[in-house]
Amino acid sequence: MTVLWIVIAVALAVAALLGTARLFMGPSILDRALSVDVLIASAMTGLGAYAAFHQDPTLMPTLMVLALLGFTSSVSISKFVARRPEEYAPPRGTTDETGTGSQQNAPGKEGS
Amino acid sequence: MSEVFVQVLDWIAVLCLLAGALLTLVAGIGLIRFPDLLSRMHTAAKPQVLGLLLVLVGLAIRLVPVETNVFNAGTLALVGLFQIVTIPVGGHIAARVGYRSGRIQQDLLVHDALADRLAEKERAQEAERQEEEQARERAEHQEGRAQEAERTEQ
Amino acid sequence: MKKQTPPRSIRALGLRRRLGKIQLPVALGMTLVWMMLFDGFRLRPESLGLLVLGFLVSVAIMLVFPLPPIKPGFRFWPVRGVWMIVYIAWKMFVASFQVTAQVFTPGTVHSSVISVKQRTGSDLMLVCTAIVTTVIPGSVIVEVGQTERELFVHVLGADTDEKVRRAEQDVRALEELLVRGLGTRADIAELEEALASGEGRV
Repeated sequence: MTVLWIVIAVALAVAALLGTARLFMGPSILDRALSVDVLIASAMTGLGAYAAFHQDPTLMPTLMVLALLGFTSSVSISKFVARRPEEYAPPRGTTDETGTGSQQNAPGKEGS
Repeated sequence: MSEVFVQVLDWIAVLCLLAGALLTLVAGIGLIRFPDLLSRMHTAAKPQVLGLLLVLVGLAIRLVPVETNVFNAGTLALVGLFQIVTIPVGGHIAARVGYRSGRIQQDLLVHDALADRLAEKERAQEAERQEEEQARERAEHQEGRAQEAERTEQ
Repeated sequence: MKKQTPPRSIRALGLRRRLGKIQLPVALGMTLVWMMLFDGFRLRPESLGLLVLGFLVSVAIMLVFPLPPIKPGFRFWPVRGVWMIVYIAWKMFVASFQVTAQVFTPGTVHSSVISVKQRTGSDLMLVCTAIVTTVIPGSVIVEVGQTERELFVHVLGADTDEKVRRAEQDVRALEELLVRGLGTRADIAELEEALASGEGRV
């Protein structure tokens, strides 16, 4: 059983390393945001594994906070990118707007 | 609780945790391996949902023989629920911004329904804009003529 | 007492409007979450206090942050609902292995963006379908057309027409399952109508 615990730890560590590699490599800022998401997921898995190994329920609030707030980073980064797309990537020919609004209110946003 | 029962529970818990950890590892590999943002997103969604659920199940099983005061399986169920509800929010916004700001590789898409739709919309908007421009030109023209008339009167 | 207290000031009016906005089912749901959070289901002296406190907290939250009601509403059909949850969990399991296989298959992966038209008019069902589609690995929602009631789904590894068609069918099956498990009677009637007229079939 000890071997299995070690395998779990190694798998999580490698996953986090690969996520960090994408964080450094990522061509666009959204790729980096995505790799942060994966890092958070592996952190949650790691915390769960730690709590299970020590049979220690005190880490559960941390898991809950991560589950509730883990998505905010990628949402805020995406919103930031949506506001100024030209700095990070050439706008595609067919996109009319920056992508902030939904499809329906896109024409109404021309004034801003 | 008998000794054997606890051991069986432990084995089940460890196997669940192992599956969750391996799913996270696969997500890491997919993150490196896939060429564009949208396909990477698929692998990222996997540890966030199934991997985490497996880890939570493993943790709950592992905590069965332990006396806990406040936090227990209900808390873990809530963690899973919150994760399932919040993950699509981030994923969808990142995907739509990525698509709309041109961070996708068209050659990797075999069939793209959204591009056609957006092009259609673009055409409609273009037509609208042209119409508006024509209207404005006409108005300017008329105004100009009115001014001209005024000047001649003077 | 009650009839001689017309709202004298704007403040009183606001308070009354806010009190009217309290939705009992939502408050009960929040109380349930509260109880789960603090392990209130174990029988012990504090349980009743937790229940009351949780209800008070949820009412306070709804007073401070009033939200519009969920318009079409939903209702949980027990048998269909349980079947829906089992099916979604199974689908999640299978799709995870498919994506894993996709990761370890050499060569570039081609994908597609497909559009799926919804057959019911309920916004809640649209949101539920979108969430479930994203949670299941292998498909991510790229865009939601709310007025056209259309979902644009990015499907990993769908490089032939056959696979595209199957992915479309999957999303439609999910929608049908969700409407039958969580929809109101009106939603289900709408779905049946669409199915009967043959519009829904792929």
